[in-house]
Amino acid sequence: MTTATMHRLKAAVAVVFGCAVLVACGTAVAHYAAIEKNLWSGNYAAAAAQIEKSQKEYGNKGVVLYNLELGTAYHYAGMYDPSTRNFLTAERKMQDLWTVSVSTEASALLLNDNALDYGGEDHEKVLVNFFAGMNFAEKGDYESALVEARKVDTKLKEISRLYDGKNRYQEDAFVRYVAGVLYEADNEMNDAFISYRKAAETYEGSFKKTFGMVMPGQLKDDLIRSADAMNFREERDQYRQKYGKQGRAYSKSEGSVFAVIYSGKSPVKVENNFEARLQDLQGMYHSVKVSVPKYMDREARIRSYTVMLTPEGGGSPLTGRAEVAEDIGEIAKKALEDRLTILYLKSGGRAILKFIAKEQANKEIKKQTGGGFAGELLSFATSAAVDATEAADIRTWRTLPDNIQVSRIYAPPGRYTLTVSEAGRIVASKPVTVKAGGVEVAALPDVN
Amino acid sequence: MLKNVLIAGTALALVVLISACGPSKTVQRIGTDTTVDLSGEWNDTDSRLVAQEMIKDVTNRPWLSEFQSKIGRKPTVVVGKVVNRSQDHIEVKTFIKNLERELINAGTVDFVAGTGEREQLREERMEQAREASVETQKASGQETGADFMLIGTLTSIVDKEGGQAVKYYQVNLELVNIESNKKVWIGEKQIKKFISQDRVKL
Repeated sequence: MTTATMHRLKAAVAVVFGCAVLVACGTAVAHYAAIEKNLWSGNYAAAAAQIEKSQKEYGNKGVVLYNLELGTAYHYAGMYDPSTRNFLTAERKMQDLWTVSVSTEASALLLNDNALDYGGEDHEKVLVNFFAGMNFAEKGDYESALVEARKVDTKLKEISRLYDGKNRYQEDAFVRYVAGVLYEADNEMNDAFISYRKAAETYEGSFKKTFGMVMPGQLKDDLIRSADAMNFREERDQYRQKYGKQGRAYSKSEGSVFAVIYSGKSPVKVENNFEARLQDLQGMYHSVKVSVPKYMDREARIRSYTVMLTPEGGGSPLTGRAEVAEDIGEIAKKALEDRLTILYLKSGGRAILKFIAKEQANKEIKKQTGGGFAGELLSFATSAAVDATEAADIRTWRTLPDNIQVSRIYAPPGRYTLTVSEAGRIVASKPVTVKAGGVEVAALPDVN
Repeated sequence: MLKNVLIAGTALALVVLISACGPSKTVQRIGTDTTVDLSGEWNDTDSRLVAQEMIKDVTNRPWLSEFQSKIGRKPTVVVGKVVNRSQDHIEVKTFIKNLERELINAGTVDFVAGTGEREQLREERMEQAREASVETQKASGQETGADFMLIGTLTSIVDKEGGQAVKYYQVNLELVNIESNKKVWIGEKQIKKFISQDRVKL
């Protein structure tokens, strides 16, 4: 072997080594073990501290993800101010990512989508406002909570425009429903009625058709009661007839607690790998690895909760059942499916580029080594390294619940303890104050 | 060919390194009346200008002269609640303070402290009654009751697509006679902003 050939071989090895280094651009998930250990044992503040400790692992491409997951952990821990700061930062950064970097886009085209900044899935862009709104509501600042609800309206329209209206997640019934509750809490019954009506239309329309969801029964009561409060007799009677129930009459002397339960672990993304077959100019077929993300469930069933309101000074507790109002897992899957067409196109284009690069490298190795065992070995290693750079972007907002359940309990004014249990297990408990004509919004996590 | 790949790789690495280096931070003092639009959201300039224009309008309408000729003194006004119904987390207190300042500076109306401040003053008077010398104590029950209350809403409509957005803010203020609930003035002011964000950067 001549010195020149030796140099070329070294260069070839450098390329293989470079490819192997680039493999490290895949999604890092190892740090989640410690975070989820705390999260699943209900130590939410410790989970938040662990996320902060792992900030480096999120990297500069995962800043949005870091803020989203930290915001959720703080929210579950009842630390609403730092939670809001993180959610609002995440939202601002999501918008900043509208401006794409030519260099990172080029890297993503050559390697994989992990080279890109994580900007959040469509439903994640909406849920960030829901959680920020819940933080404000928990602090009794309904005016600010409603700012977040209004942002969702603009955001959903914007998302639909990106897909030319062909996406399935165009409206969010649950966020509309919560907006109605917030309007009611802010003494804006007219706006509350409009939001309840929009929520019902979406539950009975796209949420039923696309996500197989059933409208929460209590929303029927909310429609009848808010129409009654506004003296919209025609609408009230229409809903009574439609839902076959009298519903609850509006009463200024009682208040209610609206419990929002975060239930289970949201699905996570895993790699869906397959081989694309490409034909070269000689008519030979070659396989190239293509990798796209898909969601994998982490919850086998829907949890069933009992909600109890116990008067502080003693007395009979008031009880209710929780109903699923937002199926995050299902929405996530459908939203990703909508985006998959774009991902396939991108992944396919990348496969062709990688195939060309691989073929060129193999030709060069053959030329320099004259084939032989060393050349074959190097060609194989190059091919494997290039294939290994193909990795799906499996980053996802992992601290989300699988679904969100709601329960509304009406009670006379006073101080109570709100307890949520599931099959005999106490999930969460917190003190609440019911005011006459008021609504107390209470967030309770059960992502164990 | 391999040499070319290496050169291209080095160039790409350099681009990545350069793009990773952010600009250093600089601080420059600017006048408080200077207009600087960064995010396109409601800002201090909007708050100041809207307050100026709306108070100028309310103090130049017939209700003022009608009140003065009928009652024989300047009307007393209190600023009530301005509800934020927009899509921005607006510091409404700043806007209320701007309204109050413009009202006082107009000189055509008398102006009394709002609910929160009144409570603070009452507490002080109660403390004076206990702790201050008799000759310096301020008497209770001598407050000036307002004739009118200024209330309002701040709404916004946002039309957004990708990196472009049109934000339309509308401020509605109403001056209501506290005794009769009669609205003597309704004012409206709009602000429209176009925000554009670049699609690509190096």
